[in-house]
Amino acid sequence: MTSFLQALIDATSAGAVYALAALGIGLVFGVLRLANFAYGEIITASAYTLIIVWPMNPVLAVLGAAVVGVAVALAMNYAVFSWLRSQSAATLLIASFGLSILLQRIYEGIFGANVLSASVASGLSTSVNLGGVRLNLLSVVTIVLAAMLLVGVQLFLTRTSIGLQVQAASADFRIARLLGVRSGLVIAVTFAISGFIAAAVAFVLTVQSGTVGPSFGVQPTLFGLIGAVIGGLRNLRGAVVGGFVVGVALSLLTSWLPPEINPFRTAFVYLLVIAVLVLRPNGLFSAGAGKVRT
Amino acid sequence: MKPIVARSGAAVAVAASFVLLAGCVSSAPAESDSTSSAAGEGGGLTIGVVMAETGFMSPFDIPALNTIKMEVDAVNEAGGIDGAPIELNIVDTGSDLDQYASAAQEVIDAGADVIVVTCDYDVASPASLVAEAAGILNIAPCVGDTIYGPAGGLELGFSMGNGTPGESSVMAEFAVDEGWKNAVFLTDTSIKYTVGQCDVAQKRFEELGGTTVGTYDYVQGESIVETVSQITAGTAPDVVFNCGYSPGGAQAAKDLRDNGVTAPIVSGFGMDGTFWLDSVPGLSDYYTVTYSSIMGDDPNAAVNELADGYEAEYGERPSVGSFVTGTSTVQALVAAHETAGSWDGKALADAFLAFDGEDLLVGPTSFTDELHINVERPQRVMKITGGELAFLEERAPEKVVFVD
Repeated sequence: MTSFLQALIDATSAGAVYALAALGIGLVFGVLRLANFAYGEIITASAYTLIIVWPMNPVLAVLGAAVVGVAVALAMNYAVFSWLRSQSAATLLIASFGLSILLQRIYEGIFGANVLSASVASGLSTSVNLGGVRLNLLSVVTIVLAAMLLVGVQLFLTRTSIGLQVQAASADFRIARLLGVRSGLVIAVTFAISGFIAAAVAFVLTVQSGTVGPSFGVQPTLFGLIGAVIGGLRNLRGAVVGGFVVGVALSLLTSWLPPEINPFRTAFVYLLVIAVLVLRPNGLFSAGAGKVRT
Repeated sequence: MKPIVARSGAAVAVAASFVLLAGCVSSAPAESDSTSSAAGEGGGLTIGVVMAETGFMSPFDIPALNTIKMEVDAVNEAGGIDGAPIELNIVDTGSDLDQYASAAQEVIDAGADVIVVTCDYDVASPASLVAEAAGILNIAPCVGDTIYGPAGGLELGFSMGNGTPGESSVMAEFAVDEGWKNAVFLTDTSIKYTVGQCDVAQKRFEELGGTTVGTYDYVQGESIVETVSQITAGTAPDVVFNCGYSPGGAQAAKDLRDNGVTAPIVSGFGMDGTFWLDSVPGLSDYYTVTYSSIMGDDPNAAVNELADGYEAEYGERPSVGSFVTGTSTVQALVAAHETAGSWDGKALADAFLAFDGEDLLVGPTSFTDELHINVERPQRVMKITGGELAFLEERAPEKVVFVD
């Protein structure tokens, strides 16, 4: 029973990270139809900020990571994606893929190929044993942080004017623009929020690993994207649930698969993706067909 | 017409799979940096270097490459080989697997007599095979896999590295001598080197009476908290073998310590160096088996002198102990040329095979028809205490075991 509980706690924490990544990715996709592969490089930029600045000033490091995340996300928008808005989703996808590789090379040029390391919020790394179940403080913080950001984004989308405009743009960008929604502002705000969320992901992952390298953000972005696809890229809540499901599935497969087939756990997740795409091409939580972006 | 979202989802999934399968290796054109005038001019040695100055292999390649440059400068300042300077033609592959074959062809076309390749067989072999086909000696300064040689189709291929069977046997023998009976083996499955490392260590550990209480896999970039939960739920290990390399190996070490596993941890060369230590503050009871100490406390004064010279030249100490293999690569070439009398690949290979405990900086060096890599050299056991890396002891394998 304790091992079952332990596996659930580990899985919930892993799921929360990918849910956050899927939220950041899903937000942008909703408005721009952009599956942003370069999202990982926003995470990486914030992670470098945390690792470098934390030993000098932890508060400044957290603030700096958030500012850098938002700044890099906005820079991506204005330098690349704003020029491609009228292009197809495939063009945007390839552009983001190229941007991802370019930024990794830039990080490598600036910080070197080797990892930088620092102890970020080491107090969160401690574990306590509760009746045989090990509870890592970071797991609790991750779950709480994810929940707070999800609620925060939800409140922003439903209780603010600009949030409602983002929702309108997500539903039908062309009609929303015809109705007076300020498309440039909506897209910029969406990128900024996704950058802020990337900084939160970076915080959790740097506390967890204590290192950052040029490809630091690639893996959470991949699984965040996969989660968003499973849940439904156009449905923000679906994307978040999808990200969570991917994290939980990976974690539980790691815990429960027999040793002989455990190395193939990632393949099982991809099988899940294939099954979902075959049965529900729009994702588990998307109703109806998507609309073409103009 | 299918909805754009469905098509986007499929495209994202395909692209994600592609990135994962590609090992997340960024792609960039190979960059050539010839430090010489015309290649092969004057009949001297031209070394074509096909290594990674950027990308994920560069932390392992750069220390060896830098000492190759230092040793070439030293030889040239002393008059070169038979009065002719050694030329270096360096191509940075960016760690991109696709670049290795073409980069090797590029340096061969430019007149390379010998090829030096990246420190991992999986990555380097396309370049090595091109050299092999051209009848050119190819050397990997610090490949640890015994496949580098005839087993991998490389009759003219030699590694200056310490073979995994020797390194891993030392890891196991050290653990047993410390009195550790129960072991967990954690294997990073992303490269063959670390897989072979744990296979050999486990076999030798059990030969010596140790008991395996768990074997687990991970890959670079993964957190292993689930595995730690399984470890803590089972028989408490006396020692954990972490067969990995940074940053994934560092993540594994951090997850172990953060989640309450206090058992000593033993790793090989992949976890050498100090660059990852800040990620696990106060890390103690961690041991690495490697080529040499980068800390200035190596038992060989020549190694410490080289490390100091490296720091003076490049502004930082070598990141890992394999830096001695770059110097040894040039030393071996000079020695082999004295025997062979030419830069012909077959003649040089025969001269390498004639080495009998050749005194190189990396240690006494011999090769056999089957093994073009050394497995019996003495190695350094380093100990990490309170986040500080220090030399602990020199240790040669008492018995070298192999796995299929």
